[in-house]
Amino acid sequence: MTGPNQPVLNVEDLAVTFPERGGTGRRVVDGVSFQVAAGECVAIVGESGSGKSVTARSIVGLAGEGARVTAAELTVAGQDVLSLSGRRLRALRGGTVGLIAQDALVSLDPLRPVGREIGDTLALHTGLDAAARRARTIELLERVGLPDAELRARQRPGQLSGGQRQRALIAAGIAGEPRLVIADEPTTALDQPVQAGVLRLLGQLRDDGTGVLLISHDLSVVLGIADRVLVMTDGAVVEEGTPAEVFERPRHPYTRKLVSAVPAGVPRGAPLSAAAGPAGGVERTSGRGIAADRPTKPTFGGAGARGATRPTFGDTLLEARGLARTFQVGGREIVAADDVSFTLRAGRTLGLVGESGSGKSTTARLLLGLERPDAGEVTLLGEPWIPLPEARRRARRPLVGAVFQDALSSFDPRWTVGTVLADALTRGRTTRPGPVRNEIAELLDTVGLDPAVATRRPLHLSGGQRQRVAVARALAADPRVLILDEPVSALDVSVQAQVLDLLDRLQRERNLAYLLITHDLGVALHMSDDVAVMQEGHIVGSGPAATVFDDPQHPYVRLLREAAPIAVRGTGRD
Amino acid sequence: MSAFRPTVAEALAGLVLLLLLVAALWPNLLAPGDPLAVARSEAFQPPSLAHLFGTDESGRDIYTRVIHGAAESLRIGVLATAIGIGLATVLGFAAGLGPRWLDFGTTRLVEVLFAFPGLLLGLLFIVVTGPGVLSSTIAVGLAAAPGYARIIRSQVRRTASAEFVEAARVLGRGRLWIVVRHILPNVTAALFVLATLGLGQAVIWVSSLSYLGLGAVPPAAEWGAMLAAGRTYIANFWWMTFFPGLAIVAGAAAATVIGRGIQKRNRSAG
Amino acid sequence: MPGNRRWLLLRAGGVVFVLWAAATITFFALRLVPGDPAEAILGGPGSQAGPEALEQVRREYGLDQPLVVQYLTYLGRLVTGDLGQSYSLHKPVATAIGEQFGATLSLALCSLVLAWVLACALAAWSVRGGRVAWAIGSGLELVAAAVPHFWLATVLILFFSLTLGILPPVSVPGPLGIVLPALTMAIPLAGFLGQVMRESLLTAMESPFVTTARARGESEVRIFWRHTLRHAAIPAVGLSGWAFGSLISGAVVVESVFARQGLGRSLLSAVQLRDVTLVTGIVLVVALAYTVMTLVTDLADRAIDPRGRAVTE
Repeated sequence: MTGPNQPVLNVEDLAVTFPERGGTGRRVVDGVSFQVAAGECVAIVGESGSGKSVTARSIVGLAGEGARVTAAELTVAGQDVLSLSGRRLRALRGGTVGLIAQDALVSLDPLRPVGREIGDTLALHTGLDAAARRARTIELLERVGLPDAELRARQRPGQLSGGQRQRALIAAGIAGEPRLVIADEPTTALDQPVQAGVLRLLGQLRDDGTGVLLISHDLSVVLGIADRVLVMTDGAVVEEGTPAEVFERPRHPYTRKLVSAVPAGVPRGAPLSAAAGPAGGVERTSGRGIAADRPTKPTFGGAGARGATRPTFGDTLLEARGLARTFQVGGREIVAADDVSFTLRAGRTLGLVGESGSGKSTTARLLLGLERPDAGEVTLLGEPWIPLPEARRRARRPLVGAVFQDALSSFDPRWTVGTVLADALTRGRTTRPGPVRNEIAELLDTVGLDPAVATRRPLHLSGGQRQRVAVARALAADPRVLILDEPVSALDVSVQAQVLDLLDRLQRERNLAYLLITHDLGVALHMSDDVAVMQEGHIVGSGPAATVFDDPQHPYVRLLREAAPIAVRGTGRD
Repeated sequence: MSAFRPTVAEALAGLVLLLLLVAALWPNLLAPGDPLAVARSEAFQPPSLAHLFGTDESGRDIYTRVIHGAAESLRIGVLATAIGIGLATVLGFAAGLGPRWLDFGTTRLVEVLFAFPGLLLGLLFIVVTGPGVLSSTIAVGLAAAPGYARIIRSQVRRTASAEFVEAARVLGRGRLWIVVRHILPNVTAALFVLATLGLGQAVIWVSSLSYLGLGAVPPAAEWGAMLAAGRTYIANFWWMTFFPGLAIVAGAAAATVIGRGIQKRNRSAG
Repeated sequence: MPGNRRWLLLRAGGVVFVLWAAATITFFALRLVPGDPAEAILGGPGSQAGPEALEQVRREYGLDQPLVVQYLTYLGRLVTGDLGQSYSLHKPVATAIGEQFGATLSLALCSLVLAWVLACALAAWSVRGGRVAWAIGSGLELVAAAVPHFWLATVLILFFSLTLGILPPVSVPGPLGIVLPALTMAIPLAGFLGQVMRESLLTAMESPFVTTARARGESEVRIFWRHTLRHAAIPAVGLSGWAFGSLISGAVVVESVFARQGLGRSLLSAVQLRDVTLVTGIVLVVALAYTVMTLVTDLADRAIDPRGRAVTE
């Protein structure tokens, strides 16, 4: 038996190397040491590629094929993981250590009922017979807060909601009554209210005496639950402390950058990435950094705005009235939008927030004329825009630009960045970058990219670079309104901060009207002048960003606010 | 770029295809002899240095015949594939881009054609036109078309609903522009793969028809016809059937490896 | 479940439609044969049929009637199971098919089962054997899929009958006679199924749920049988309808090589003799069998992968 002071997990000088063709190998984890005690929650925070997931997986011997793992000490409940035989290692996995991966839709076998997955763990690590396993499965599902456990046990992951799935995955992870639970990004794919529930559940586990190792890219997620936080970057731990220490008095420059990149609580207009030095260092390979106060550039050479004059701040640019759209799915009606009305003004941002499936994206598609509304209308610069035959809308399409969540799939895989921009700049007259080489370079410079990027394919760019190219494409036609559909939700925090700063700067330079669709309250509050909250196709609350959450008129708005990670409520609170 | 470095199997397959191509275009480079030269005294020689693959019942050199047969076999295979893909492209694009009723009609038609599995459609065709090289070629193309059409349709639909096509619409591009600039180029890449993979199968089926006496007939140096001729002597002179068959297997396998190689790279390139 | 019944009804309606369309196509294909249709029915211009025989055929098939009437009569006969008279066999086509159908069906089913066993065994072996076994496995599948039936039959006869002398070179009645023909058809099919399975096996093995299974302490063998094999089998099961079709085509070749009786061999000789009635009869019966087979495949697919069902319900 281990006493309260003896750690469940002891990691001393852990290093993981992956073999590389013609080299000594790529070291992704280097000299990492930490302990997790029983009843303690330790969080490792880092961005993609920081080595946090590999660290977590090394603990159960699943670092990956070909990985070379060394450590001065790597013990779980007194057992030396590195010297365990295959059979003993399998007894450790699921028995002593439970692993909870992210996105239960793919982490649970989609073809099998979730109850079977839990039953398998029980069969491997307990001596229970079939009937007892069934009873225990129901018990576990009830313990993780799944109503109708009997029914849920018979359902497959695809039939459960995101939150239910994640709870089932946790039930499978704790079925062997492990001393240590490793939760690898357990809330990433979830909406914020659901996220809060899952985190509470992990907190309960910790309070019951289990050691919890929580891995996350999101600093704000771990604040409420972790006892200690480790910040990782480039395979090494650069900072360690209590959440309050790390968040309020970060010592390491990287931590400072990470903390300031969190948009929650940062006032509108204040840069997120500038605090940690020139942001260009990350995205740019050469040339000038992004200066927040660069002079306004009215239009691009020959391809700029035609006819329409530049609006002044606060002008009404786009007005949606009573938009409605219903979908027929398998005989059922799904209301994606009903009586949706709002106004977009020059130089201002309307943030549209809500859970997944609340109709945010349908609203964006209606505005962009990609979906026909059942009812309602949209006017653009005072003239009709929707509904209108596509042919009559086409000439004015350049006025409304769009940036999508998945930048990569919004580019033709056969096109280079130069092709994409040449097409956008010349309005489809040519896809050869040659004739508009200078305009392309200028455009890339505006979004903080090196002109050399023009020759590359989006596939070979980083996520942040891709999203910048997407912004450049939207700008090329010199729009008045930008529809931003989850433009940063696929990005790491520090990259997200840079893209948000870029969008903010462009808005001020060009008096653009933004519709910002996001599931992230922090992003919405930082970027928006006004906020509208959507639920089941309806706007259930709207108003100035500063007041809509302080004065909730709808229970859902309150729920969303309560569920949001602590940081949204302001860092000065405690 | 390392992404285009061929694997061992691909390099080997490329070599085989190159050899076949040379054999088809300039057979005398690889086998200077006459494929139809009869030498009764040298009949039924087993493989040796003088006759790499042995000789047949009339003393004709089988190696020379296999090399000279490449042109005929490949030509028929390519033609059959072209017929199949051509027909399928029309059907697939009509269904993928046309209005709903056209899609509905074409899809039903393809479904009905599917009910004549494999060679049945081809045999039905041969019974109408009578046997021969040309009708067996068309028959194989016809038999393959429904399968291709289904793949092309789904490829067209997938590309047409891709996010980059929506992005082009948001930028104000017209329908025709999108078809020409986005959908055609992206589907063509898939068509190329389909054709390479189909070529191997077409060669197999065309030679099968020849073997059954419904296509090319002996003494033509077509591989299937050669096998059919060797059939009678199989008990004693195995090399007469073994080597022409090996040529078919090597050609078909090489085409498959290359086709799948391109497919894999297309996929990883987006 | 109401969703299931609706689905079945819809599918059954589809089957009837496809059969009707297939019958229509064969009817008009028959009219496309150049020259006098009566002559075509008796084997084409080369048959030198006498004027009385032609006259009798014309009367029997109602060729003197308008096309619409002919077509409707034809459909009416099909519904009652009358497929016409074979001139080359001198008996009703339906009877001839009835005699041959069983032999081909048992051959096709044996081959299908054998192909599945071969493909799964190879996949299971190469999953456990590391990189070398994987390469060998995919190489074997590649070659197997590229082998023409008639050549493989020759090689197998050469090896098993003429060299080892353990199996008969031509088909004899009894279970021993079916071994070589079934093997001949199963090997290329196993190659195809294996290639498809291998691709999806690779995807399945990299899926996060496999990591979850490992993290709960499952062994690699159990992961293969419980998780990945099932995922890998889905696309291959979907191909089984197509596989059945290719087996029928294969039967045309294989039954001839092994001098085995069956639909395939009858079809070949009917094509060679241009016995149009017999060809269309066989083609229609195969179309029926194939369509039913596809329906069965879809049912199996729904049993293995219940996800599709959730969408249609």
